[in-house]
Amino acid sequence: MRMRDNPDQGQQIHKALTRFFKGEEGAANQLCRLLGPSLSRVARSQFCQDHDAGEDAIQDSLIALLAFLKRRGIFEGDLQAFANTVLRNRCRDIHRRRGRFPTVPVEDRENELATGFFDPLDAMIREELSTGLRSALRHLDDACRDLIQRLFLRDESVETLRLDLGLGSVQAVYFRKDRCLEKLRKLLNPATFDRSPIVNSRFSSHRKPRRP
Amino acid sequence: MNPTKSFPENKIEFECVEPELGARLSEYADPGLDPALRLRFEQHLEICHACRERVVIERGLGEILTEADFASRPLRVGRVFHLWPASGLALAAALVLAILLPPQNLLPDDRYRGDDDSFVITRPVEGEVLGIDGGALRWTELEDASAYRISLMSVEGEFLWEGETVTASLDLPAESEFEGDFFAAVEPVPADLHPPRETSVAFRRGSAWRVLGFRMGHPHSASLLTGIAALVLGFAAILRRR
Repeated sequence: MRMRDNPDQGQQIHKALTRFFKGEEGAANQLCRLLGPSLSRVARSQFCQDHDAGEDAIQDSLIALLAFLKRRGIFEGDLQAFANTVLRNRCRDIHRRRGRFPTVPVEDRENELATGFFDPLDAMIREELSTGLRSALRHLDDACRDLIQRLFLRDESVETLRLDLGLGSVQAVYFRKDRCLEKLRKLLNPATFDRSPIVNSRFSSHRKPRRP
Repeated sequence: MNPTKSFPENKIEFECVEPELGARLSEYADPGLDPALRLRFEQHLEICHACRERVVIERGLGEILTEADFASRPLRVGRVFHLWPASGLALAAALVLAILLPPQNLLPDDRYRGDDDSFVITRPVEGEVLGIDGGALRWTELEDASAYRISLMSVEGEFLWEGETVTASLDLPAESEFEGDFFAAVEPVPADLHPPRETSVAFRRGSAWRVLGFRMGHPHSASLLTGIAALVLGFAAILRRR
């Protein structure tokens, strides 16, 4: 286990967090300074010599973290570990994106592009997700395919499924559903999840500015 | 040098930033969810890649996929082997057939020894391996023949055994000394009905393993097995496609 930068850093973070929730000036900066060294180590471990990418990821993570804390208004647990996980996920997302190639042909959508209502990036992301889901579905076992089809396409109730599957409780159905979704997720080729139009339509306030 | 680490993109797994809350994510789809908990989920989703990924997948399932996506399925080799019991049974049947069915004559143009195809030895076929505990010679009947005289010789021409019968077949002696390579000739009685030693065959007698080896190595058996195996796998593939 890695040692903290100094023994009472946890207490300092806690105090800074309390000040942050009270809306005191400079609390956010203090939090960032306290969390920074450990985040830098995480970024270095993820990006090695690509210092700029690491710094960008740290900045993005801290902004997202502060926005999250502000909205929630309370935090329980280890903020440093939380921030490190947020950063690691962002780094992984960057690695995923770097491995992706745009595959959606836009040549035949010239007219739509000209109207300004068609976003090629959204189309690409949606196409990727669509292709990925179909591909993943083909490799899923029959039981999971059936469960997913009934739950998500036919909107059958969990109670109906419980009776058909001969399960004792709806929790067992949820458990199976979770397992099937986990299998599907592992089969699914990485898509641009946080930029997906499906999510963005739900969390539009958090949408990033579109690329020019 | 690449300044970043090389990560295989499909091996990168996100971690949930609040695992206890993430474990309850299924409840997020519940319309009757407590509004406070719903708000927590929404705040959580804004910062958690792992759970956001899961929500995107769940929504994509309902919004992108259609019944047709669930209906079609490509061939998957692994799934073909789910039909092991049927495939195994078919292959076992093919093996039994290959052993029990008489081997085919392998001489060119389905010809037998001798100039006259009307009087030939049909079993054993040329080069066949028979068991030491039996086996029989069979030949086509010759018109006007009252009986047949059978001579068994070593391949060097040494006389070993002789028998006579009025039918068109004769059981070979089961003695263990008759093991090895042989030459058998059938002559009609009276002998002047057919040129001497023209109706003949070279064969072997050996252990059951040698008989099995011959049957399995026989080109017709190999063809039969390959054909049946291909048919079984083909049907399995078609069934899985459905």
